[in-house]
Amino acid sequence: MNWMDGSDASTVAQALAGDRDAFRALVERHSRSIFRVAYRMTGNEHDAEEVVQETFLRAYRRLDKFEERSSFKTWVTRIAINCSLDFVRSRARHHDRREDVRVTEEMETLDPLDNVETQDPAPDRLVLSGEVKQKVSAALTRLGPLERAAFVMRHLEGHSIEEISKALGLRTSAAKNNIFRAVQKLRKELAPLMSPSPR
Amino acid sequence: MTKPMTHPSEEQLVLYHFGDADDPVALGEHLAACDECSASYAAITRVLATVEAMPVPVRNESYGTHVWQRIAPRLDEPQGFDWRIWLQPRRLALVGAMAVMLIAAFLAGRIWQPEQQDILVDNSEVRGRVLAAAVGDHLEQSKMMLLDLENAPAGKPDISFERQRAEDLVEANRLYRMTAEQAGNAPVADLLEELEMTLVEIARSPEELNKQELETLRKRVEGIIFKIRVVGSQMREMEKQAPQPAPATPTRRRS
Repeated sequence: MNWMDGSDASTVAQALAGDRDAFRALVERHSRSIFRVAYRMTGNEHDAEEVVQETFLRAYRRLDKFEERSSFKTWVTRIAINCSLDFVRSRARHHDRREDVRVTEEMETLDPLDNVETQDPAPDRLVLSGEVKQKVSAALTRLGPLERAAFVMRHLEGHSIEEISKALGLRTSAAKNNIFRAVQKLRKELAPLMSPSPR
Repeated sequence: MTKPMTHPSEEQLVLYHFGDADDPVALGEHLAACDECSASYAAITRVLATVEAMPVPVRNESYGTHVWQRIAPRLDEPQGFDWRIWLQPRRLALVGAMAVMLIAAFLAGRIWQPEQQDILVDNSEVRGRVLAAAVGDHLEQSKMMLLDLENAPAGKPDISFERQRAEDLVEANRLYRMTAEQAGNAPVADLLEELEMTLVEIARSPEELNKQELETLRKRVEGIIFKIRVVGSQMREMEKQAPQPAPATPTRRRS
C-alpha cells in the first residue's frame, strides 16, 4: 500500500494496528518539519538530529495516546518541543561550552551572502550578516528553556497560546509571560544591532 | 491628534504583535496616533523579523527515510533485551571488576608523582578513557532496565525485578559518580547524580504500582533515558576523537 497518499489519521490507525510501514510513512512525511523545530530549539544540527530521532521513538511508544480528532503534526511537534526541552535543560546542566563553539562555527558558514545588510524588516527579504547571526544565535541560547520553547512555538511555528500552554504544561498567562520575557531579552540583547528603517 | 492617557506596556505591544492582545482595536488606534509607542512597536517588530530571518539548514526529501533507517532498529529495543541476565553472579562480578579497575586507574593517577616536571604520564587521559568505557557499560545497563520499566504493562504492574535491579545498580552508580567528580568530568557526574536519584526512587517504590505512580515514574524515567542517550553518544564521540595512548611509555606534555 502506498502510505504517502493517505491522510495522517488513516495512517496512524494502520500504524496502531501494527503496520510498521504506516509508521514509516509518518516519519517520512514529518521528519523535515520536526527537524526545523528541533533546530530552532537546540540551535545546532547535530542536536536537532538527535531530537528528531528521539521524537519519533517517543511518538511510536505513545501512539495509542494519540487522539484522532487532533492533528498528528501538532501532536508530534509537541513531543519534539518536549524532547528539545529535555535536551536543552540537560545541556544547560552540563555547561557544555563545546556546543556554543559549534553553533558559532555553523552560523559562520551557513550563508554565502554574509555581510550583506539590509534594514528591511520583511523576513523573506532579510539577509543577515555573519555577526548578526552569531549574536541572534547567542541571544537565543541565553533564553530559558521554557522561554525559548514558547517563543519558537508562537513566533516561528505559529502555534496558538492554547496549544503552547498544553504542550508546555503552563497556564495561558504563564505561556504569554514566557513569550514576552523571551522577546524582552532578545530586544535588550539585539537592540544595539538594530537601527530604525530609513523613512 | 489626541492620544489616550495611558501608553501600552511593552508586554501589550508584544501581545499585539502576535494577535494575543486583549483589545487589539484600541491598541491599533493608539499606535496610529502615538509616535513614541509606534517607534517602540517598530523596534520590537525589527527584532522579531531578524530572529525569523535566521536560516535553518534545509533537509532534502530523502531525510525522512534517513531518520527511519536510524530509528527502525530501536523501535523494539525494550522487547529485545532481558536485563535479568545481569543479575547472574558472573555479571555482578564483572561490574565489581570494572569498579576495581576504575579505582586502580584513579589511584594510579593520584599517587604517582613524576620526578621531572616536564615529563609525565597523562593520567587524566587514561582515567578519562577507563571512566568512559566503564560508565558507558553502566549507562547501557541502566538504560535497559529503565526501558523495561517505561514499557511496563498498564494496570498494576509488578516491578519487583526492576526494583531489585535498580538497587544493584545504585552502588555501581555511586562509585562511578564519585570517580567522575574526582576526574572533573562534570557532564557525566551530573547525569550520574540524576540517574542515582532515579534508581533510588525505583528501588524504594512499592512492588506494585497504581496507575498514577506508574505514570509519574514513567515521566521521570523517560527524561533520564534520553539524557543517557545524549551523554552516551557524546562519550562515544569523545572516545573516537581521543588520541590513542603510547603503550606503557610516558608521554611528553604538549607545550
